[in-house]
Parts: sequence; structure tokens; C-alpha cells
Amino acid sequence: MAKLLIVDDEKMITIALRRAISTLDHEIDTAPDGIEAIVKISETDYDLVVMDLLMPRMNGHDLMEWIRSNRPNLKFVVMTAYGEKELREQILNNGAADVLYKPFEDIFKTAQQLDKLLK
Amino acid sequence: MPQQLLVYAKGTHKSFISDILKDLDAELLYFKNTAEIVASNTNGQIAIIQDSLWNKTLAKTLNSRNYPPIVICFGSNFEDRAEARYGDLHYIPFNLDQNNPKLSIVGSLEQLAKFKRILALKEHRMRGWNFEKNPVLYLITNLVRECSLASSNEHVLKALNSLRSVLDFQFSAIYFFDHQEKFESAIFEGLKSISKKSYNRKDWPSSTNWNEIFKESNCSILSPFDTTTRDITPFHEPWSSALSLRVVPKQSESGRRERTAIITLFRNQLVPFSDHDSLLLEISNGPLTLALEKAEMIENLVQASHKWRSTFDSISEPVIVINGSYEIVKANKNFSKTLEIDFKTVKGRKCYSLFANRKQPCAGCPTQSPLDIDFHKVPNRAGQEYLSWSYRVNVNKQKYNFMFYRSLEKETQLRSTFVQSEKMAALGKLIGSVAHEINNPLAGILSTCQVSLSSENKDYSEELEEIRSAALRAKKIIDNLLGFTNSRIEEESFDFKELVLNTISLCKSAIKKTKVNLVIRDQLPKVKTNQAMLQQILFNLITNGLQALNGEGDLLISVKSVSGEIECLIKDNGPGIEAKKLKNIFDPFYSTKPEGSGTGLGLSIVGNLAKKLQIRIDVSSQLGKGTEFKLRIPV
Repeated sequence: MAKLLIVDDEKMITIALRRAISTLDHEIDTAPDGIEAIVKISETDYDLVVMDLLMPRMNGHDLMEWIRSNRPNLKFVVMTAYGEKELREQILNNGAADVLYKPFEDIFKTAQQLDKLLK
Repeated sequence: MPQQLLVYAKGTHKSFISDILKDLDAELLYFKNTAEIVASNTNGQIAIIQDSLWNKTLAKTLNSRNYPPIVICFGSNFEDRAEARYGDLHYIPFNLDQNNPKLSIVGSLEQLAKFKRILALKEHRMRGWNFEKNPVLYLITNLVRECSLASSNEHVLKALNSLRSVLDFQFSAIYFFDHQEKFESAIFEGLKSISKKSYNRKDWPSSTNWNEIFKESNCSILSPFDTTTRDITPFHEPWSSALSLRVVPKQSESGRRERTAIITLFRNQLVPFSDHDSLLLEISNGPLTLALEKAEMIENLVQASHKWRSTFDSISEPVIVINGSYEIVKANKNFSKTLEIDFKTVKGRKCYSLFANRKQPCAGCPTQSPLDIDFHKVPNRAGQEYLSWSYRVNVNKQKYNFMFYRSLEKETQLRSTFVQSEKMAALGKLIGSVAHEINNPLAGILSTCQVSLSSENKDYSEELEEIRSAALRAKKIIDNLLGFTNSRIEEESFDFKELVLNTISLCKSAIKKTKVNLVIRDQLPKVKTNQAMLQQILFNLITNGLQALNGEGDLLISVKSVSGEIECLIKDNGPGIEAKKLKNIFDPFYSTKPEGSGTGLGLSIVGNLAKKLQIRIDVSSQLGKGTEFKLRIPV
């Protein structure tokens, strides 16, 4: 069993991901933006952070920066609706374990993808 | 003391020449016959002789004098006759007009000027310069005169012939080298027996510099003052002696290196050139340099004028130059082309009469307000509106106007195309950002639906399924919209036949009862392009055709290889598209389908993708017969 933090301002995404991932027996926390995510990461040891890029208050890019300099061992995955190759390369260069594209074809497959990263 | 002119002419010729010469401050001595001239002392004089009276005996006797006279032949039927060969002979051609003798020489004004220069030279002689005792002075005077008349490099080379009376040579050449002393070109004189082909600059590599050329041929030209006789064979001809002179200064005053010319005289005897010969040639340096510089300037001038003309003609719109009274001085080719009139008939016509078919200057003629750089509307003779503006120039205190015309129709078209493409670019940006914004909540809806559907509670599963299918439709629209803004193209090589078969199987659900005929010529070359984009094009066109057929009729897909391209034809025999609608089918949000059944994006995506992949699409349609799309895919 692992601990995941899902960061997205779109509540439906966090609800759906929480449901899909809980079938795999992992513990889920959610945060609506980068700032709350940092608060939660500071309090709890997560195994994986799944984050959106565009969020109010503090966006995914800044969150990535923060994780890289403060929690270098923390794995994270980025969700985005932008399919450009350059963006994908930039995200992977920033230390992301993977890039997930929204909308998801099949949320359960996405959950399994995340599960694989945890092993 | 007025100079003496010896005149030998008869009848009308005599009265004509007397008439012309009477303005000159000269004493005219008339000869009645050849014997009189033979008996006379004509040393160093000027003799003006009617061309038909000039003969071999005269040439021979005059030439045998210590100091032969300058002979000017005038008339209208002078030919290069054998007896005409004479050291210092000039010819003034004219057509004798009995009624107005003065006018008849106007055609040869240049010749008249030459004539006067010769007379001026003669005047110097009359001031007691003793040319017989000073051959060098004679040489220089002759050379200066010849050089002053020369207007091309070839003329300068011919002028060198005036050296022959004091310097013996058979063959002369001028070699030109650029500012880096690389060989440029050469011209030759007196080389009738040798084909000029062998001196083509192609024979000499352009990298060769001048001393390499002459080193190879073991030539004395290496040093301009080296007159040593050598056994040289320049250009495969046995010339035994050469004398050369570097004439154009190597460096100009501004310090820039200019092009150099080397003049070389060749002798085919075993008598070497002497120091005296070398000195004579060196003395000629000044006039030769000036003459070559002048020739170069004239050449540049001709080039510049040619360049100007080409530039003027290459302007794609009609342009004319008019003077103060609206007469056309110059017109570019496109002016006569636009008006569909002969290029030669334009000059001298009034611009308003020619262009607008009017009797007075056009209202709002831009020449009337030269400071106003705005366009003015002017109708042409066919009533089409043109925009016109003018640019005023002053040449020799004369005012000229450049008039530019542009078709209003073309201008409007150009502008609307520009505005349209700007609009499309802005629309693309907007669509991109909207699509991404919508994708986010859409992702939530789709995922939540899926999760909810998987729960054990099936109370609302039907409703959830509906929400999900609506969201999937929205997702598809978004994907299509993103096709507009997606600028990445990754190319791969693949088999086109396979792609077509795959795409047809994707369309199966839409095919229903329609009969799809597929004709593929085997052995298609592989296509290198973005497979997904090409498939989208095919998919959209096939489903489009199927929708047009609506279950009735045939769809033909035919693929063949045509000269480096793959030609793919997608043809239906459905209802067809009206001609006036046909030009809009590639516009976004334009649909011929009933409202609500099409997004109006299918073909606009095809158009956009095809543009990106450089695929040409031709569409033709006939009402009641069907529509045909022809793709030309580069291999």
C-alpha cells in the first residue's frame, strides 16, 4: 500500500482518480492547488504526487520546481491536456516520472499506469 | 594664319561641301583633277575628297610623301575598297539632299564632330610644330586623337595601330585583370590567321593570376619593361618577341585596388624590341589609361542603363514616366501589356488619352498634388477603377512624374485574402485555448462517468451512459479543433495501400449499404509523410462521400502513381455540390448538411492538414452527378 497525492483544481478529476486508484488498495490525498499540495507534502510522506499543470494560486510548474529542490526523492507525474512534444520533453527534463494526457481514454488504465510506477 | 583645306570634289558634292565649310575659319583650295593633287605639296595638310574621286593612285602618291596628309572622304557610297587603305583616312557618310544640304548631314552629327576635331588638330600643326623632326610628338598626337574617339576596349586596341608608323608589331592584345590580379578577359587585334576561340577565357582557370599565365608561356610580359627576346609561344603560336605595358593604375586615390590592364605588342620576327620601342610604348601610357578608363565608364553606364530598364520593366504593375504636359516619356512593359497595346506606340501619347480614353487630364490626377502620397482613384479606358499615385523627379530642370497604377479589384482581393488569413490565424489561437480549457472539465466528466458506471449501484447507469456518450462527442469535436492548431509534423515512410485499406475498415460502420470500389495499381512507391494526418484526411473524405451518398450509390477510391506523386481519387455519385458553394467547402464551420448534423469542420481539417503535408487537393462537382476529390501526395 502506497500513499498518493492528487493535485488538480478540477474536483471531478480528483474524485474519479481517487475512486479508480482506491480499487488498487492505495491511500489517496487530494489538493486543489500547488500551495495546499506543498502544505500536505510537508506534513506527510507520499510515494507519488499526480499533478495538473494549470491551477490557481500556484501552478504545476512551480510545484515541480519546489519538489525538485525540497523533496528530490519524491516521484511525481504530470497530467496535461496539451499534447505538444516540446512540453512533454520539458516536463520529463524537470524530473517527472511520466506525462498523462487528459481526457483519459480509460481511467482504470490510468490508475494501473500509476500503480506500475509505485512498484 | 587661317588653315588651308584642300578640297577635291565635283558638281553638287562640291557646292555641298563648300556650303558646310564656309563657316570655318579656313582657306579652301580647290583641285580640279588628280594630277593637280599629285603635283601639289600636301605635306601634313588636310585633304577633303569626294569618295568617288578617291583612288589607288592618289592613295599611293599621298602615302609616299614625307608627311602624308590627312584625308577625309565624304559621300554616300563609300565601301571598304582596296584603294581606300591609307594611313590617315577618315570617312564622313551622308546622303545628299539637293534642297537642304545642311540638313542632310545631321544624321552623322558624331561624324561631323570627329571632323571638327581633326580640323582642330590640324590647327596645332599649322602653329609650326615640326612633326617631321619629332616623330614622338606625332605619335602621341595621333594616339591622343584616336584614344579620345575610342569608346570601347576594342577601339582602344585599334587606336594602338597609330603607333605602327614608329613601332613595328604584328599582333596586339589587352589583358584585363581584376582588383586581385586574377585574369578576367583578353582582346586581340591583328590575329586573322588564328581562331579567336583559342583565347576564350574558359581555357584559363579563373583562379590563375596574370603572372602565372605568362610564366607558363615563358613570356616577357612578366615584367613590363623587360624587352628581352624570348622564344615564347603564347597560346600555341610562335611569337618571338613581346613588349608589354601595364596601363590602368593598380591603386586608385582612395587606396582601393582597381582592375589592371596589360597591353602587349607581339612581333613575329627575330628582331627584339629595343629600349627605344619600350620608351615609345611607355610614353603612350597616359592616353591609353584614360581611354581604357573611359571605355570602362561607358560600359558601366550602358550596364546601369540596362539594369534600370530591366528593373523598370520587371515591376508587375503598369508604370509610366510623363513630362509636364502629360506626354508619356517612358513606359514599362506591363503598361502596354495591361492596356493590350503595342509597346512601341506608347511614347509621346498623352497618359489620360491612352490610359483613361479621355480628352482632359483625369479628375484627381495625383500629379496635381505631388506632396500627397495617397492613392487616387482613376478609371481606365474600360471603366475599371485603378489606384494611382505619382512620384515627381526633376531632370535638367524639367519636371517628370513617375505614375504607378494598381487595379482596385486586385488590391481589394489581396487585402481580403490578407484579412482572411489573419482572421484564420486568430481563430486558430482562440480555438486552441478554448479547446484546452474545455478539455479539463471534460476529462473530469468522462472519468467520473466511467468510475460511476463501474460501481455496483446501477440505478442511474442509463443516464450516466448518455452523459458519457455526450462527453465523448464533445471530446471528438475538441480533438478535431486541435487539429487546426497542431503544428507538429513527424514524418515516416509507409505503404499507402495499407493505409487506405486500414482507413476503409475504420469507416465500416458508415459504409452500410454503399458499394465501395477500390482500384489500386500495384507497386506504389512508399510515402514519406505524417501517417496519422494523412489518415485523417482520407477518413474525412471517405466519410464525407459516404454521408453524401446516404446509403445509395457507389464510392470509388482509385490510387495510382503519376510522375513522382501518388494520385488518389475519391469519387461519389451522390447529389453533388453547387458551384457557388464549392469554393467555401474548405472554410471552417461551413456545412452543406442539414443544421445539427455536421460540425462544418471535416473538410476544413482536410484542407488544413493537406496544406501542412503539402498535398494538393482538387475538387470538382456536378449537381446530380457527384463530387470528386483528387489528392496528389508527394512521394
